[in-house]
Amino acid sequence: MNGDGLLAEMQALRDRVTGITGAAVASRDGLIIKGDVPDLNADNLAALAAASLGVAQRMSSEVGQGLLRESVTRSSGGYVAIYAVGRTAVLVLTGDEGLDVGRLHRESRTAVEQIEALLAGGGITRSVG
Amino acid sequence: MEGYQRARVEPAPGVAVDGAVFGGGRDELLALANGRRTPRDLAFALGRGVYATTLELSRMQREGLLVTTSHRAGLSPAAESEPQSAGEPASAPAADNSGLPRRRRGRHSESDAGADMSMLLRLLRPRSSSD
Repeated sequence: MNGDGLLAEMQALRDRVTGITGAAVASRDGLIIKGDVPDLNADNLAALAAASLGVAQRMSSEVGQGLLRESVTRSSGGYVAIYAVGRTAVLVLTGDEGLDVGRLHRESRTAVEQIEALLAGGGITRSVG
Repeated sequence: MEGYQRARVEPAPGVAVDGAVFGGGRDELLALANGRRTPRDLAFALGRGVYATTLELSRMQREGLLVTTSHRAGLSPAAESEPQSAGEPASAPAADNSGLPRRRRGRHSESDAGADMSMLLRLLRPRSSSD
């Protein structure tokens, strides 16, 4: 099985939420599984996403605010949102400054579930070349 | 125009992106129109108004400079962002049963940045709920 199902899921999310510019699924170790980010370095994005989510989860538990929902970085030119996909993977999304963050969070929930099912069901490995 | 706002656009075949000069802000639009971006995305990417950008794009399409891509056309080109570097072989046995790629101690990426990142990740890896 290859990552086409993941790609389709990420593109469907991009269609549903205006302002998403790119998406990638990475392992919790920070290795890229499938990326749809033509203008970015997918390897670096995956590594930073996993690291960033790790920090956010430590912060979340440190302050005792329950389960981490997502980690969002907001810059002058846009957003990066990172979601945990089960315990083994992360979903990272980039968006421009016009991104509707509320809608993103609502729609991402189903996307995360779909991606988790895809990863659990199919022995997806890192596609090389 | 209703559907056009959500359509993704790219240069028409034969419209040379490099070197061609159209002026009037059209070159920037052609350079960024890659079949992934809608008129609204292009406006944000260029920091221009959505209305003016959409209007200009529709003019360019009428003049044959742009075409709209079919909804799923991006599937194949987008695959280009797959990792090119030969990382761990796909058949490498994973320590867990998830089948997902894992970092292994002592095996760094090709660059120093990758090595730093690997160390960073070891430090930050979520620990079990005991801590």
